Amino acid sequence: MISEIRLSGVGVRVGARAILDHVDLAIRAGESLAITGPSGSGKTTLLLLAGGLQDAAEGQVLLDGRPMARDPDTRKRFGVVLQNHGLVAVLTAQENVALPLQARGLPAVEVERISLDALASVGLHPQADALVQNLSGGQQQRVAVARALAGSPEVILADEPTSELVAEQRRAILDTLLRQSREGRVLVIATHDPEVVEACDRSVRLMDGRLVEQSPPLSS
Amino acid sequence: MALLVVGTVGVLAAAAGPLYLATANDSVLHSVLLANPPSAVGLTVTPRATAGQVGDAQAALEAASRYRLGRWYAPQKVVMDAGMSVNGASGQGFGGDLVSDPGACSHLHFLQGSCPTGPGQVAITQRSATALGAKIGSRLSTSIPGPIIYQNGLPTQGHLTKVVTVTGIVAVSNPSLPFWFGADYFGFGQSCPSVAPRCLPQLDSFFTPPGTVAAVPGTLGVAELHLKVDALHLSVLPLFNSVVGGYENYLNTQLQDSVSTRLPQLADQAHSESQLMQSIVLVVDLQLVLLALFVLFGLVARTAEARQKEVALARLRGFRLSSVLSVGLLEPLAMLVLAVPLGLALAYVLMALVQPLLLPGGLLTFQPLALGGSLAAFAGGLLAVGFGARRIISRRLADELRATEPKISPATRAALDGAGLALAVAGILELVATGVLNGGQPNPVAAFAPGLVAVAVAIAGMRGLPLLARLVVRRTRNTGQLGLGLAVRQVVRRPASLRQIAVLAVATALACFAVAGWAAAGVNRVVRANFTLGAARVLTVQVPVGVSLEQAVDRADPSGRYAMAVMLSKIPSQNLLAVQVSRLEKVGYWPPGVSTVPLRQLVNWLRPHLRPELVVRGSEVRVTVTMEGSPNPPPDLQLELVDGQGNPGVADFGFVLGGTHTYTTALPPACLLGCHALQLNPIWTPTQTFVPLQGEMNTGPQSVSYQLTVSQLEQGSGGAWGQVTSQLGDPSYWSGSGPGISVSGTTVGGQPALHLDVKDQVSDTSSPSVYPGALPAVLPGVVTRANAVQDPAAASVEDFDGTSLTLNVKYQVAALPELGQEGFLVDLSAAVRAQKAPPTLTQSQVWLAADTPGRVVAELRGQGQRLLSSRVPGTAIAEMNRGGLALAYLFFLFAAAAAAVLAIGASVFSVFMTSRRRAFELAVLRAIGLSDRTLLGSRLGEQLLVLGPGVLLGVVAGLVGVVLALPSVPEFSTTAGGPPVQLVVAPVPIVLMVGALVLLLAVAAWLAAATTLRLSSWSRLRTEIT
Amino acid sequence: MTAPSPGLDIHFEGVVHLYPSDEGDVVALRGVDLDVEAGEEFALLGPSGSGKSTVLALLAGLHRPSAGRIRLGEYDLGRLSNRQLLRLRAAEVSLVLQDPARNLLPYATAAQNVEFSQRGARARGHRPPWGAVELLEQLGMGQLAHRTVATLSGGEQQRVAIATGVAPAPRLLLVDEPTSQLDTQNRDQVIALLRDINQRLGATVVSVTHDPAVGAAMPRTVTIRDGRIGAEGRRGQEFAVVGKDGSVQLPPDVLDLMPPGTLVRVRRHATGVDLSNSELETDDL
Repeated sequence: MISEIRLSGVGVRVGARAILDHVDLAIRAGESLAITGPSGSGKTTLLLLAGGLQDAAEGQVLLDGRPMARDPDTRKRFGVVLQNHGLVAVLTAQENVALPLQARGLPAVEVERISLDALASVGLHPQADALVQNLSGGQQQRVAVARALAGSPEVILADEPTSELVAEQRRAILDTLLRQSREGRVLVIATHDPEVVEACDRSVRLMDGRLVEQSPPLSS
Repeated sequence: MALLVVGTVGVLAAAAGPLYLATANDSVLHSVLLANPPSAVGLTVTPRATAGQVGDAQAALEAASRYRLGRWYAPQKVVMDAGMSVNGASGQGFGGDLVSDPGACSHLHFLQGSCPTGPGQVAITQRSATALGAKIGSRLSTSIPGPIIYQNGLPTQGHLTKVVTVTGIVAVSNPSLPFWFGADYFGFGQSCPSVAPRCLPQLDSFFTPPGTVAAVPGTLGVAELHLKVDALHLSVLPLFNSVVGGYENYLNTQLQDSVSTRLPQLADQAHSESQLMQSIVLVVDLQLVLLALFVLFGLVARTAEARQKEVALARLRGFRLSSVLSVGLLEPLAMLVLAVPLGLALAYVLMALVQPLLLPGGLLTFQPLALGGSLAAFAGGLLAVGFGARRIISRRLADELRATEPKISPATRAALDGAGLALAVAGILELVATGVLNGGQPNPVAAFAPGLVAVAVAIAGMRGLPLLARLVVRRTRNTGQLGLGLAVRQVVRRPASLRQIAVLAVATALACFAVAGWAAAGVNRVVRANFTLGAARVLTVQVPVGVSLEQAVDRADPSGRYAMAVMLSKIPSQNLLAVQVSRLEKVGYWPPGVSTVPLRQLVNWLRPHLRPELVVRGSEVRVTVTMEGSPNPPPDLQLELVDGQGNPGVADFGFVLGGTHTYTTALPPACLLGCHALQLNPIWTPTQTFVPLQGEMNTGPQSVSYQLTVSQLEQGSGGAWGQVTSQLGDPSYWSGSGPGISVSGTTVGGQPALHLDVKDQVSDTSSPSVYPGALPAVLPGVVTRANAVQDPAAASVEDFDGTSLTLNVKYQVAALPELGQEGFLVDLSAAVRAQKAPPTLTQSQVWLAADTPGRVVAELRGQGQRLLSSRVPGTAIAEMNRGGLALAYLFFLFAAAAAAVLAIGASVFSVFMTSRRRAFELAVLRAIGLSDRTLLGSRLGEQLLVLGPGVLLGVVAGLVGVVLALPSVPEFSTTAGGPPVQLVVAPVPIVLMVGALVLLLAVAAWLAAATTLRLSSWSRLRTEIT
Repeated sequence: MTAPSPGLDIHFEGVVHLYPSDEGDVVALRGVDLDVEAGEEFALLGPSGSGKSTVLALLAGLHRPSAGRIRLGEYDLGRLSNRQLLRLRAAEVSLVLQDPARNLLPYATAAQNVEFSQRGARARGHRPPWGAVELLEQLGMGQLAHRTVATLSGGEQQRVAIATGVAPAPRLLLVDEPTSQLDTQNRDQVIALLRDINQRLGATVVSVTHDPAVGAAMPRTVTIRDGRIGAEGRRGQEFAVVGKDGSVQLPPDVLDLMPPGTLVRVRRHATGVDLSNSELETDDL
């Protein structure tokens, strides 16, 4: 199990603009982290960096003290929820959820069971065989969450995972995500929803590419 | 912009069809005119009056210049011909003629001397000079027709003597050169026509200036107007027809001349060929344009969808409807508008490039129909835009803002597909029901069939593929075949990709049919040309007098593998083709399908079993006959003979008296060398004596019966007598023919004898006769289906000399070489045996196999055979390849190429359109742990899963279309004259075409897969404005 | 050039609205009564799913209300034909969508985008009182005028999007979540922009937001909860609103004292009522 992802002195540029500037951040397992701040402040980029899905121009991203590798094996330990879901529209909900499991080479029976469980955990078991393109935005988002959670990855990264959900669903999803963190996984959520920030154990705020606030305050 | 490409192709197709047609029509006319001799396409003006022909002919030419016929006719000349006879140095007389053909000197090869220019000067051929013993400067005394003189009060042709001087000696020229206009001035050694009172050996014509001939009374003068084939285009044809029609009218009414030309018939022939070609080209073009429009529809819809965001924004901002539409559809509309002139221009450029190579003689002109066609295609595109507009208008803004994908409900889609399928199938059934397909008669409408089949198969495939894939999907559901599983689902669950498969299938099917049709038509043309000609090379020969063609060929080619003697008689409804059947299999060309039985069987049937001939040699013949009965008056016994030259003769024994007597008579002189006995005729005429005192006719019996026994037949020469080998006692050798006669064998004094029993012989023109078995009473024959008779043994045909032959026809064939669909095939030896006189109605030919060594022909020449012409199938093939139907099939190829471009364009477009969206998708998949290899495999698999089924369905549909429709699409302008059209599926061109298509598409697929994968880098994952 | 006419006043009378959805009809608004004066600037607050987006959509004329009446100035929204709605959208009512990207053509410059959104008004003869570049300068975005929208930051895009909303000089400006993507500095800029527009143009400005800072900056807030107007805020003070049927939505901070389903005793006094939890009362005694 991964215990820590550490970003040290990380910087990302696009042209002349610095999206991330000298960011130092330690993300610990079991401690849910919310990254907040306006869009364009680098939330998504920070999340992608932590997930090994983005290159840092400066600084390092360390996974348990070692530089993060970008091979598919590392990928398989992460579960990602992205803002545009990135679901394959012509696959069913279950097929989408099954993808990372199949990528890991699990046997068919296992894949079936785990994917259906994941869908149940987000309340979409009845929609398992519906094509994703026929689901509503909220349902699609929940499928994306289920896909990220399927197979209990060691690290869960979520970018605005509840933006399209109504209140009860939002609460439910949040609880599901937080449970992962409580079970000892790494959970990072990028959000600007104050409710989500509230619910997480820890939050950091990004402004113009720099970490400006931490709550609860950093203990040395 | 793929829309522009597809739009342009659509317009191009629509415009190219009419352009191609117009140019091809012209080319067809040109080819037809070129394929016929100049005398057929030009004008020949023959004055009707027998006197003053030269002046009349000249007047005709003057009239021609008044009508400005020089626009289309050059050269124009008056040719004069006066018959004459001339004596050679040894005093022997020859026949010939004096000919004035202006400009002849430049077409003659002068071996010695120069062109005759002054009056009385002539140029003669080398062989004429040799025969006359003449040289340059020799003065020859010719006898030309002179004024009428009266002998014993009766008018007869007088003669004048004219002395001519030889100024030039020339080589023999090929009479088939266009300049000679079909006249043969090189008839050296030909036998003269039967009407000639005195038959002299013929020389080649003497060439002389006009002045020499013009003054000769009775000179034949003809005006020849040679057509400038390159000047006659379809566009000027109406003007041409009216001018020439006026000219002909003038000649007929004012100058009493008769004008002959076959140009109107040839123009009609070209026209009907053009009609067929037109129909085919239009049908194919229509299908191509429809395909282009279908693809265009899809493209316009997707382009409009891609601008959906701008449209939503425009509506949100309260734009007027027209502005909203222009935001969404202006670009596609602009592309379409641009496509019209672009497509039209490209069509012209393409045609201009193609014309010299493929459509010689065709003139590329502005065709309003081409413009119309392109506008029609544009209208189709407008319709697509209209549909797009309707969609934009009818959507609610709220939905638009929510950016939900507009979906055609599955029910609507199923209804549309079902309707399409039903229409296609209905179309095919309709074609079958109305006899267009499998109706036996080719019909250009059959060319719709491949399109209909393609649509039906494509729709069925489109619907069936998901069902099929469901099995595959089930199996790849949770196995390690992740990439494949993804690919399958991507293809099968997206209507757009299924549509792509359909387009690909239809395009491939059309291309398949086109290539197959073109190849098959090409093969069939070769087959037809070969079969119509008969063999790899056919020589038309003039057999020297006294030489048997069969023996000549046997001598030149004893092996029987290379040459075959053939005689051909072309009398309407009684065509006869006589060949040496033993050589037919090796030398002749007999494609499958002509006969239902193998050629060997026909040959065995036709092979003559000729009995030895009854040869009588000597100066006298005598026969011993016993007469029982007393016919009054007695019959006159005659023996009919034919000599070695084929001249008939008779040995008349005189009246046959009662009892046994020997009758002797002289044989015709030629029988010294040997004559064939043809038949023995007892000819009886009832007596009618006029009794002057009673003023009435005393008639005797009207019929008689008697019996004759012929016990001896002997030939004698100079007093020595010998037996004729006559097999008198063999009843199988002798047959009776005619009313009331029966023949049997018997013996007289231990010797075989022939017994004839004649009953009720009446006097009419046909007397009973007895044939020696040498003469087959009934020839085995093979008949074409057109001539098929009810009673096999009852076919009656005229032989080469006018003899009526009875044929026993057992087998029917679809067609015969040279004769086409009407005629009979018999063995040459048998037919020659049946002749009783020199053949007058025949053409003698020698057929040669492809690998005939040169010595065979040299040998034939050495025997004195005169080669009149040598034909090979290549000429006919080339002609047919320029013909209208060949051009139509060429258009097929063009359509195939255009269809392929459409398919590739549509496929590239769809890849391009979805690449961004898919790139993001792929980036996410990579992010969740799928390997690059899996993703590449998935992407590639998607492309191949569209490509594979598409092409496969297309090939299947194409082949089905070929089998179903190809036999019904006309390949020749007339079905007559050839072997049945074979359904030849040449695999090589199809494989090549499919291979090329697959290669191109595979390359596109690989590029697409690799590109999107490269685009799907991590940076895609950051939200960006799309 | 005509002077811009003052903003539209808004009146909701008993508006009920339902959405069809996969799970049956969803009641988004359960009877909303709202009165807004011309030229007012207010924020529409409420949690997600409370119905505030619906109010905006109805105001923009995207739907016709299932029941009730909406009057915008002289217009009765429920009675307008599609063409009239279109005309309304061209010149009178402007909606800025939530995600700035959806309001903009990414390949065009800011000035071109502003021109684009003015086309509808121009075509109908309503000439906006400013050109594109002029407007951007007036709103403090002059330096962005000729930059391609795709190259702008999130905050800049948001402000340009608002500019495109203002460009046709509407009498009612509707803005959906104007600050959700922005940092503090940008947020303050947007708030100032909205105020600027309201004061300069005189248009009624309605902002839908769940950002309390935006609410605090507006002179008036209306909070919608569960399809009804639950509370209003004026100049920093929150009030509960008594609905037509006499119902009152308790503010969330007292719900722990009186959770839903509690039986409350209502006692009247001079300036209002006392509500007490009957169970708690009994315990006290």
